[in-house]
Amino acid sequence: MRLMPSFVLSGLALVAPAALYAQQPNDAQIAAIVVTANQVDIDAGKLAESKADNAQVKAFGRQMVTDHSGVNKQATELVTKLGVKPEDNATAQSLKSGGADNVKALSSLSGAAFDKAYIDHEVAYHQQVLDAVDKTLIPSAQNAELKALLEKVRPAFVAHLEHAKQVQQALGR
Amino acid sequence: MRKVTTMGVAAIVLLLLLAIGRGVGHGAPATVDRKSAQAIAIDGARFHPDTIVVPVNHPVEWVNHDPYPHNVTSSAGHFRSANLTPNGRFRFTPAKRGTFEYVCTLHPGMKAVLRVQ
Repeated sequence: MRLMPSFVLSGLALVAPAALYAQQPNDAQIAAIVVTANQVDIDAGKLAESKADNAQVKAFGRQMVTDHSGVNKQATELVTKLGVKPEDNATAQSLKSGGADNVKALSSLSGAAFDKAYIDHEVAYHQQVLDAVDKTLIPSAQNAELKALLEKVRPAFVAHLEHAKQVQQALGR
Repeated sequence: MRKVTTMGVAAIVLLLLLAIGRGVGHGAPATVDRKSAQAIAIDGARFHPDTIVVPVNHPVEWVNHDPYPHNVTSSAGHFRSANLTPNGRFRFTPAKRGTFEYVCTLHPGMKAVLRVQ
């Protein structure tokens, strides 16, 4: 047994305690986690794109939709090519429910409160996903191409984290 | 007879090789070299290489290898690409010498330098 990444507890999300622990994920489970992690941020981005008040927050949300959709497309193409069928697992489920909770919480906010909550969550989420990529997903990946994909998309999460922090800082001024 | 024919073919091949060699050698017009742009790869949300030196009037071409868009934007406004979709390309030929810092405005951490001599 090994402690699963803390990003399952991201931001506004509440996660069932049972989901905190799981065995080291196999490639099929990693595929499901990657696709879900991207989808969660796409969903939040779509909300920000339509609801954010601040122009930078709105643009950031739009970019999350574009970038994570691109990553998911590539991930889907790879697992199809490899014949790997994404396997649902506790982490993917927690991400999904955490993402839904986040969207629900954000939906009740508006104006500056929405902007702040969204961008704060994005900073925390990207940091936690990065931790998971570094500590669990890349080390656990068995297939060389899947590992290469994770290593290739990792810088995007770094870039998003840096960008989110800049927007967060700008909102605080 | 066969020996003569073989020698003839060899001579023709040799002449062809010499002709080709003349076209791409030192005596070739400078414009031939200028057609091949200096490549910069956009990969993993980074410009590779992040610093490049080219002669003035030598084209530079960026290619986006990431699965999401990037752009190439001079910080001082000297050049700017559209948002490049995956596998999208942008070519720029610097007409003056200088050091040009540029970024991807979509990913502000992506910074690089084009040095024109």
